Amino acid sequence: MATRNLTLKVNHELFGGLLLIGIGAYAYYHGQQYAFGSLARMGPGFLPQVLSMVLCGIGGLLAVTSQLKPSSTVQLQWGQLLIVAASMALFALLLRPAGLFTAAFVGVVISSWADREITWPGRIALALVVAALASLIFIVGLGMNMPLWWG
Amino acid sequence: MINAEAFHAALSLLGNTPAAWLVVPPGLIIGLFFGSIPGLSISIAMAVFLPATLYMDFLPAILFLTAIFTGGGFGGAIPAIMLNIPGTSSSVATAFDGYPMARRGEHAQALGIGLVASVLGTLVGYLLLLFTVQSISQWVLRLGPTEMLVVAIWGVTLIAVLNDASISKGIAAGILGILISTIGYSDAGQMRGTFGSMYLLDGIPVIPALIGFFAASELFNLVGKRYIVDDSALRVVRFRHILDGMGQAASKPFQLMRGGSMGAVIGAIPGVGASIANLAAYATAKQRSKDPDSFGKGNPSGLIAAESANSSSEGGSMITLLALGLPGGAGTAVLLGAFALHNVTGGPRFIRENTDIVYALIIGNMAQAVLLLIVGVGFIFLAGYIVKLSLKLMIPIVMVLSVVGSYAITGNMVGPITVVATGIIGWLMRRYGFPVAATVVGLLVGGMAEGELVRSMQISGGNLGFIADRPITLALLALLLLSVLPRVIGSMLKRRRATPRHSPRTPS
Repeated sequence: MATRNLTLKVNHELFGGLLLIGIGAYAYYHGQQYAFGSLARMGPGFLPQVLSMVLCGIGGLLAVTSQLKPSSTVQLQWGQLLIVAASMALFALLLRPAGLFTAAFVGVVISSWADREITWPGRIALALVVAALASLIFIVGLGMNMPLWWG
Repeated sequence: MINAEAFHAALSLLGNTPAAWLVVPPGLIIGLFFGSIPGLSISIAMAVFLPATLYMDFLPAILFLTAIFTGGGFGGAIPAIMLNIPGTSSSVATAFDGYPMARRGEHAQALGIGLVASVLGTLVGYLLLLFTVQSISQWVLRLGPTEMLVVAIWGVTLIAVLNDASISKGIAAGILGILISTIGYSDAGQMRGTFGSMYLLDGIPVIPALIGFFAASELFNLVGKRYIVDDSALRVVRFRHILDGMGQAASKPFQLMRGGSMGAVIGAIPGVGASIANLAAYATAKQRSKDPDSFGKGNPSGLIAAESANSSSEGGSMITLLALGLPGGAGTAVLLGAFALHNVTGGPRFIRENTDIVYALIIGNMAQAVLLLIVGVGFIFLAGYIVKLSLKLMIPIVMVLSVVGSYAITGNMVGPITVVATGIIGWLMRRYGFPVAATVVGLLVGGMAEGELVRSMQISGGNLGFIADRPITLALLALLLLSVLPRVIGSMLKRRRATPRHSPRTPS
C-alpha cells in the first residue's frame, strides 16, 4: 500500500487519449488561420477551434483515467492492414489505365496475401470470379463509363 | 392522418416506375447474403452498394437500399439460429431461443417463425410510419434554427452515448465527425482545412467516407479473423417444416404486434435502433410470459419477439430520418447519404412537398416485406451452405465494390483515397473502442448543425439567454438530458468495476 506504482500503464485508453490530443491540437493549430469571430457573428474558425479544444479535453480525460485501469497489450496488426490498404490503392490506380477487369484481378490477388491458407489455384480462381462479377455489375449492369481491359 | 390524394399519386407513381420493382429482389438477396454471413453487417452491404444507386432515380434508389435493409434484417437471423452466431448486432436476441430450437432439430421451423416475424414486423413499422408521417411533419415545421440545432446535437449525442463504448469516447467520435465536416467551403462561403488542395474544396466526399468508415474499416478488421464454425452437420431443410414454423408464428398475432410496435417506437429514437429493440422486446416477452423459464431454451415466443422488433425498427427509424433528416443508426446514415446523392434533404419540407414520394416509399417497403416472404423461403433452403461461406471469399468482393463504387461517385482518385484513409481511421477507432457510427453521423449532420448554430446566434445577437424564450428548445433540451442521463449515471455507477468486454462485434 505504501509503494505507489509510478510506471505508466499502457493500454487502449491511453493510446486513444493521446491520439485525440494529437488530432485536437493539430486541428486547433490549423483552425487558427480562420477568423474566430464572436458569438453573434461567428467566423469560419469558430466551430473548428471550439470543437478541437473539446477534443483535446476529452483526450486528456481519457489519458488520465487510463491510469486507473490495468495495462493491456496493444496489438495492431499493421501487416494485414497494409496489405489490404495497398491492394485497394493499387486497384484504384490501375482502374483507368488497365481497365476494371484487370485491376480487380490484380487487387484481389494481392489482397488475398493477407490470408495465409489460400492456395495459388484458389487465389487465381477467386480473382477471376470477383473480377468477372465486378465487371458484370458495374459495366454491364450499371453502364458505368469505364474500360474493361487494357488500352 | 393520411393524405388521400397523395396516397393515390403514390400508387400511380409506383405503378409507373417499373425500375422501382426491378431493384427490389436483388436488394433483398444482397441483404440476405450479407446479413447471413457472420462477420459482415447490413451497413457494410448498404454502404458498398450505395454508389450503385447513382444511376437510379430517387425512388428506386431508396427502395433498393431499404430492400437490402429489410433482407439483411432476416438474413442476420439465419446464422443466429443455425450456428448461434448473430449475423448482425440486431439479431443477438434471435439466437437466445432460435439456436436451442435448431439443436432440437427444429431449425427449419425456427427459420419459418423468424421469417414471418420479420415480414410482419416490417409491415407494422411502416404502417406506423404511414399513419404518423403527416402529423409529425406538421409538428416539425414549427422547429426553428435553435430547435434544429438541439435536435442535431441530440442525434449525435444519443448515437455517441447509447453505445458499447464509453461516453467520452462516443462524444469524441461524434466531434471528430463534425470536425471532418468543416473541411471545404463553410456555410458562409469561406474555405477551410483544404490544405491548399483543390480536391478538398467541396469537402471530404461524404459517401466515400461512409464506405470507408463502415465497410473498409471492418474489412481491415476482418482480414485474418476467422469465425469458427464448429457445427459441421449439414442440416436438411424441409418445406413442410418451414410452413409449420410460419404457421406457429402466424398463430401468435398478439406477440407479433407487441414486438413489432415496440421495435417501431424504439427504432424512432436516434441512436437506439434494431440492436436495442430486439433485446428490449425479448425481455418484455419473457417478463409477460406465463412460463418465463422456458425462454432461452427454445421458446418460439422469444424468437417472435426478437425478430419482429428488429424488423419493425427499420420503419421507426425512417420516421426520424424523413421528418428531421437525422439518421438513427448506421443503416439510416447510409440512406441519408443516398438522399444527399440525389440532392434530397430530408425534413418537413420534403414530406410536405413530396408527400406522394414519401407514401410511395412506405408502400414500396410494405410490398418489399411481402416479397421477402417469397424470397426468404427460397433462401432458407440455401441457408445451410451460405452461413458457411468463408469470409475470405467476401473480403475481396467488398474491397472491389468499395473502390469501384467510390470511384464512380467522385469520378477521380479522391473517392478511393477517401475510402482508404477513412478506412484506416475507422480501423484505429474500432481498435481503441470508439464508435464509428457516431463519427459518420457527426460528418453527415455537421454542416447542418453549424448552419443552425450560426443562425441561432445571429438571431439572438450572441446572447445565450435567448433560448429561455423558446419553450420548444427548452423542452427538447430537457428531453436530451433525460435520454442521456440514465446512461451517464449507469456508467458512473459502473466506473469502479473493471469490465473486460469480449463481444465479437460492435454495433456499427
